Amino acid sequence: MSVTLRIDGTEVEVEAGTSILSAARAAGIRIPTLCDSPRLKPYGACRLCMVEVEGSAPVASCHTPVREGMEVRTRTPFLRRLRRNVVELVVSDHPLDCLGCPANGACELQTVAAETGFRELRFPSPERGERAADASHPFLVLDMEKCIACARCVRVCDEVQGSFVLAMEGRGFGMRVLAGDDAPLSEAGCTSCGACALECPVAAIMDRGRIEHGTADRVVATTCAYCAVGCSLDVHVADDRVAWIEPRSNGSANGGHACVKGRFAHGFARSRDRLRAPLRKGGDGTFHEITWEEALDFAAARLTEIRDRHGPGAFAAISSSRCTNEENYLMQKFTRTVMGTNSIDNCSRVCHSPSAFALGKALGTGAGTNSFEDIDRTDCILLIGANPTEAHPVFGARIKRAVLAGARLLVLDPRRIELAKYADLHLQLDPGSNVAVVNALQQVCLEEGLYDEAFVSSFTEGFETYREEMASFTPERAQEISGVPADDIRKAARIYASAERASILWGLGVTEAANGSLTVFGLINLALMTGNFGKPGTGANPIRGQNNVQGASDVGALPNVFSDYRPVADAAAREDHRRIWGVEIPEDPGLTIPKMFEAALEGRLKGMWITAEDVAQSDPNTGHVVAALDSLDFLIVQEIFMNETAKHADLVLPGATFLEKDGTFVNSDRRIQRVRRVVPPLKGYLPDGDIVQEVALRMGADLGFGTPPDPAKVMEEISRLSPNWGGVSYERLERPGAFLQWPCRSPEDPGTSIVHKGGRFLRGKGLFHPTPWKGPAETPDEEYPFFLTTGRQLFHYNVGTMTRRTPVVELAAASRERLRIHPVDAERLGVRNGERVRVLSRRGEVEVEAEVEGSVKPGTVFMTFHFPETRTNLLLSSAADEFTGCPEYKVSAVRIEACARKAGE
Amino acid sequence: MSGATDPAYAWPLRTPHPGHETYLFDRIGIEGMADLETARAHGAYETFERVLEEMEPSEVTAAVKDSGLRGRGGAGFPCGLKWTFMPPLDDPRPRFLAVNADESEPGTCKDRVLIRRHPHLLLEGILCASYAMGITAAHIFIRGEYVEEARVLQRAIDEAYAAGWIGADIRGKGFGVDIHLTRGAGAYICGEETALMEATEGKRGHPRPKPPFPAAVGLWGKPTTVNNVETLCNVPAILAKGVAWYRRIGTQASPGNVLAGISGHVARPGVYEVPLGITMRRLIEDEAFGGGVRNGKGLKAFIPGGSSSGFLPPSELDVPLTHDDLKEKGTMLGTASVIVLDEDASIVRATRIIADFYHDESCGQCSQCREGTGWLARILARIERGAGRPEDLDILLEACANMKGKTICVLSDAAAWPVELALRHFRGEFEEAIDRARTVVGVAAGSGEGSAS
Ligand SMILES: Cc1cc2nc3c(=O)[nH]c(=O)nc-3n(C[C@H](O)[C@H](O)[C@H](O)COP(=O)(O)O)c2cc1C
Ligand code: SF4
Ligand code: SF4
Ligand code: SF4
Ligand code: SF4
Ligand code: FES
Repeated sequence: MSVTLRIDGTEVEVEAGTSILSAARAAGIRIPTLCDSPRLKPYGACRLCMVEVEGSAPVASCHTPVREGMEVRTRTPFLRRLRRNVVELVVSDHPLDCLGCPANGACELQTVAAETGFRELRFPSPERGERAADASHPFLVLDMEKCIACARCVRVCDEVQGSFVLAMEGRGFGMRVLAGDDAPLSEAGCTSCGACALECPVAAIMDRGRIEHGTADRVVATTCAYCAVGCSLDVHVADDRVAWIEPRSNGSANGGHACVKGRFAHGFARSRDRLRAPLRKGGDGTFHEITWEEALDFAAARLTEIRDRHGPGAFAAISSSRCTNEENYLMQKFTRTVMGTNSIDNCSRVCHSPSAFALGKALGTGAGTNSFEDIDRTDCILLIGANPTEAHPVFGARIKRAVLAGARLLVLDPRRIELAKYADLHLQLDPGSNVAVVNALQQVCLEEGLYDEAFVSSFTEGFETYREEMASFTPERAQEISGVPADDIRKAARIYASAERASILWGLGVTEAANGSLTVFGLINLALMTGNFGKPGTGANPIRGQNNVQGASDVGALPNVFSDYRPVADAAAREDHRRIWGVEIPEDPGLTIPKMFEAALEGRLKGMWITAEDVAQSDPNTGHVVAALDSLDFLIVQEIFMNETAKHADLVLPGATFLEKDGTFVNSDRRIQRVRRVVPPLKGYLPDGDIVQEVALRMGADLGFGTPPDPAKVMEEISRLSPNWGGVSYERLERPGAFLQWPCRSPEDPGTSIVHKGGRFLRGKGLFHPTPWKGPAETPDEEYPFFLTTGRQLFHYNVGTMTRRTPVVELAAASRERLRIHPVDAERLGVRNGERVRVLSRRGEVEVEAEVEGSVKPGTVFMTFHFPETRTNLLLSSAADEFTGCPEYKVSAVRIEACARKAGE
Repeated sequence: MSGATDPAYAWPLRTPHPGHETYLFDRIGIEGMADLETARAHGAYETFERVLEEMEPSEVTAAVKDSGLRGRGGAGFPCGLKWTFMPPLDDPRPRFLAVNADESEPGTCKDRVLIRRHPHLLLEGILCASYAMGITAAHIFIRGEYVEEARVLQRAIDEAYAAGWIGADIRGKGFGVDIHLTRGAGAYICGEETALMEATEGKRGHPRPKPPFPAAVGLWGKPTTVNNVETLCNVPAILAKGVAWYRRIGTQASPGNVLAGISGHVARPGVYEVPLGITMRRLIEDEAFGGGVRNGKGLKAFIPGGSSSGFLPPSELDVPLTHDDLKEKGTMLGTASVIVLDEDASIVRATRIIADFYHDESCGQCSQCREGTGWLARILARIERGAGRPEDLDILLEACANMKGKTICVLSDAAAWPVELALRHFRGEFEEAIDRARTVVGVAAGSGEGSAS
């Protein structure tokens, strides 16, 4: 329903329920405000936004809804006096040192003072007490002397970030913001998202970056290169360096929010230990610097030799989900056209290949079905094997907001993750038992008739056989396997099935398991039978790990498919490529990453080119990988820092960071967004794409996009060869914050937020897959009595290469690896909190500090893999998903031993 | 006239009163009225039981509306009318009654007596109101300092639960309601109805911007009515004895009895149940009530209805104690808590003390109130100290004007009124204080560098 009113004589039509302030904004009329923020609930405190309404007393426009026929005046002498008085009162409680203030020029109090004509302060404050600033936090400074008590920081922390760290304290002049239980911010449970500083209208909470720099020289819009939420960022640049980073207010994936990584963890780019020149390993096994000319010549010569002597099958490349689509495309084109092999893969193999596989089989495309926004519209979220508040913080906060606003939440996870505290039910299953619980959920829905017959019969196939096969998988059986009470499984199934719109989300806890694909099939079945596809607030969505893991696969950095997942085995696809590339492409699929290592060990593979993937650190069963790398004749590693993998290379090429290059990323919900060169590459760097072209040139080939390659041209070719990207172009992505969600088939196609609309599956009909129970490769036994499961934490990313080179490490929670162990187990083993323990598996052992806490259940321990010195991966099982080869990172059996205490301890 | 002195109170409790009917305090003198058994013996819950049997919810609301009962929490809003703002009874959402027992207005301590001496009367009032509005749960928010009262009330609630007067399906009549008690933590602002709801929800007691109003978005976002303890205690009598009976007490626009507290420099401070419309003079001077200014002193000023109603001079003593008459005098009935100042009292000092109170208690959200209360307190302190300036009185008046009608709740107004009234009726005292200061400064300056103008 819409309402028409007049503001300052202009007729305005808005939705009923809109505030007068929003209506005025929509009409381009500015009303001075201090406590309002478009993304927060109205608060009504500063009283600056008062307006006159005919026939009533003046009202605060920010929280007064419009009425039909309302006559509003925003500018009258009365209001000017009123507002001037408000400014005078606020200023009377605020220091007057504008010139030296870091907010100078960007201060909202200055703006409203200027706007209202504030001149005279009749209440000079003689009794200001000096409050010391809180400088405990590595990225934020709190200076409460400057606080004007608008509570925007408190509200954004509550309403947007959901961390509830801040509170207003005291009254009158004494009012101020308190962190935690009156603790320094760094110890108050703050997630360092920085939202409070962004909201603060004055300089009471501020980024150190802003304090240190003043206003920026320029602002460049780009996309975060950490996780696959794909936050739009505004990078503020001063003196050709990153001064500070803010989330873009119109960012589609993040809506003006970011997390500690995207917002603050950029210092690595200027770290002293970045690789600065190509390194060649000499006969003595040590590296020495060589020039780029030498390096490129050397690479070209050795690759030519391998190809010509051993044939195309002797080469393989691992491309990077950290790099841009264009770079990945170049790498796969190089591998296929110059080296003549399909042996290119990327790390999605070790994370989400089961998702892509099962989604593709059941529905027709391997990507997630819905968008982040759908979380705002769902009635029920089933979250399994993911910890979004730590690993995908901006999305995690969004889930929390949805739940606080009333959506129901079911969490299936071996750990009591933060979101479990907000859940209707937390099914704390044993690692590796996902399939059992998911099967039982399906069985309950089938048994109790909690499925949508109309949807099943119109839009799906394979239901009857599937139904028969699943009939025997009772919650009781699942309880035996998983330890989850059968009744809880029943309750969860009913909550999910009875929701009007339900959404399923999963993470690596599902896919990095020997039964990963089976679990994904099960989740899809669940959504299929309840008709939860093709409409807002529904769907089955993997939460992708790395920033561009979706894009790397989308553009063909996979051994069996070209870009847009067109099979290399498909003659038509090969023909299309031949026409544009001008060379024949072999029809046999290439090697997957695990097969590459096998082939290397068997001597079939001679040369590899690995870009920005620390396989020797992050792959399971590290020993096996290292042996494979060492058995190669020639290994190129392209990296920004020296790492485990690079140590085994013959040639190390320094790569550029996302801040130094142009391109695009695809985030977890298929959003293609621009990455922009924020700062010029430092002397001595070649962006990754340029390197590939230079090597190709030296091998007598040209990748065809100019030298250096023009990313916009690369996108043109991707678009030409990929039907689902047919409408994607740099032109359409140019506006800061712009995005396109594939499928986007033509220049007119706005992109697709929800795939399989109205039950019309890309595959035709949605296909049910029965999912027989299959356990993890390893379960605890007498010798190795604990489950070890792994995951991420908020402050770090992957193996910590980037985050650990920033002040993030100053935060206590982020400083070191800890083994989480349940108090009951700790007690039994005689391990005290903070003591060092040895963790042993069939494959190796590591030493680590124990943290005794209750988020894990007895019998399960947890570690991250952010700290290379701890080498968590030495312990992990080398089992893999039967369909995709995705390794089982999440389930290993280990033994814990207390390290000997010194006498008297 | 008989009086009982309760050692727990600093002042005597006087009841019943001659010459008029009482229905709030009529049973508080009975030993053990806080116990269910005694209370039942004296008729507790009988009205509610009859209501359950004989009346439709809408009839209850209609009776309260027709009775003309006005809220006793300070604002004097017609109670029955407020109840009709709740959504229709077939609205499936839960709905709440918030019972305001925060009683923190300086000079006010009437609800305390009711809770302490006759808690089952309050519970019966809550039950009748809940039945009328289809309330799912009533949440009583009681002032933190009322430790003993909270204990007594909780015991009464427990006893009433055990006896089946509270809970599901009361008396098998298909109506049920829960009653919960929440204790405050010492902030005056928590008595403001929306701050009360925030505090009941466990948050910091900050008033909410209105609209939305509680009947639409109240406790936990659900429709809610807020009523004062004394207001609710009127309800059983109205339902038992009828609207016509009730309207015979008090005046046309302000019917019923009110609990008037008298404190300050009077001979007989206490809480008295009196019919609305009684004059201030009678309340302060009558031997049955205040008994006149103590120690035979003259009267300087009186506050008619709690600290925010400000000072009136003796010339206004004949004003009747009603909402409208006091409003006409630029003040209000408020909580009907009279504070008396004798001829020796300093209005400057008394005004400063009140200003300090509001500055301390401003929740700090609104600019005008957070800073304005501070400036009133500071400027008044400076005048009292003898450091006032001639322009201070105008600054005070302008600050007051800016504090009124512009904020989230009326605490800001309540802080401004007493200063304005003091300046209206006692401006001379303030000018004198400032002149005195200037003379002293003038002399000091004059002795040094010649004459100061
Ligand atoms: C600052 C402030 C303090 C208040 N304190 C109280 C209080 O302690 N007790 C009370 O009943 N009402 C208090 N009120 C009034 C309530 O907001 C509300 O009007 C009242 O509880 C409604 O009940 P009634 O209609 O039954 O009077 C206060 C109002 C304000 C603005
Ligand atoms: S940085 Fe984020 S989590 Fe920390 S206090 Fe600010 S808003 Fe809250
Ligand atoms: S710190 Fe900033 S945002 Fe927070 S209340 Fe103070 S002025 Fe407002
Ligand atoms: S790491 Fe993820 S959530 Fe954090 S800012 Fe980057 S994209 Fe956003
Ligand atoms: S008027 Fe005063 S007490 Fe009321 S909400 Fe505003 S600041 Fe708080
Ligand atoms: S913007 Fe409306 S009160 Fe602050």
